[in-house]
Amino acid sequence: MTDNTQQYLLLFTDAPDAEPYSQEADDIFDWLEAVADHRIFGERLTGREDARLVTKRQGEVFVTDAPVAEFKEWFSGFDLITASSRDEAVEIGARHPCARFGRVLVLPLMGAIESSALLEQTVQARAKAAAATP
Amino acid sequence: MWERKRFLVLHLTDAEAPAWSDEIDGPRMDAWLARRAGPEGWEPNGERVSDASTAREIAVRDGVVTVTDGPFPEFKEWFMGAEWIEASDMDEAVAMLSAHPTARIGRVLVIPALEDQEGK
Repeated sequence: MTDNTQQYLLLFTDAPDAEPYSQEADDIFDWLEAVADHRIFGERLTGREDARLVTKRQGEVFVTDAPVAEFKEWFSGFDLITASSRDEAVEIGARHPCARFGRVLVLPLMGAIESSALLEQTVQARAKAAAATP
Repeated sequence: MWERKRFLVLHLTDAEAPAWSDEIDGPRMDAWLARRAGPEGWEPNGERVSDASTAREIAVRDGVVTVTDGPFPEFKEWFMGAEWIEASDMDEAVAMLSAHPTARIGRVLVIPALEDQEGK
């Protein structure tokens, strides 16, 4: 592992304008080898039909499928990586075959949730940011 | 092969959901963390996800790399956090997450890992 402390979540999604998947064009093993020093772990994910959206409102739990209207493009997998900067994380993501077969979201991570106080801070900061967005 | 199933959990915001309450959500978060640290738990890995404006989206088309800055119109809501959990099945994962604070103050998307293939 290199001395990169900042973590990024690479979230792979489908994309209608992407090139169709082909095994010959899938160079995932080259990617895995190239980014071994940056990669913590990653997995492929199941299709939309196997996922569930969980909410609790006024004490009642609702379990539904992930709404197609909201998640038009589904998540095919993810990798957790470390990088010294977001630019480097983007560079790593751009070399992943899913950048061609779909899209890659690069999500900077802000550190672990280790206490409820920390989650509350995050939630409040998020609400503030949302309120500031026109 | 794992003894238990693994799930990617995406904690989502919800503009319509109630705000964080110390009284209600504090104990739930503590219970979640206690469970994670217990015998039925797993390696802690939950992380807060940064604001959409700091995220980037990458698409490579015909060899051309396009990097788009967030926020992204296709995501009406955003991610509060992401983590990787273990449970014996989806029902158990759903039951666990329905007691997590973000089920009340946001929404929780639970996506199983593909188990029949080696890594990625």
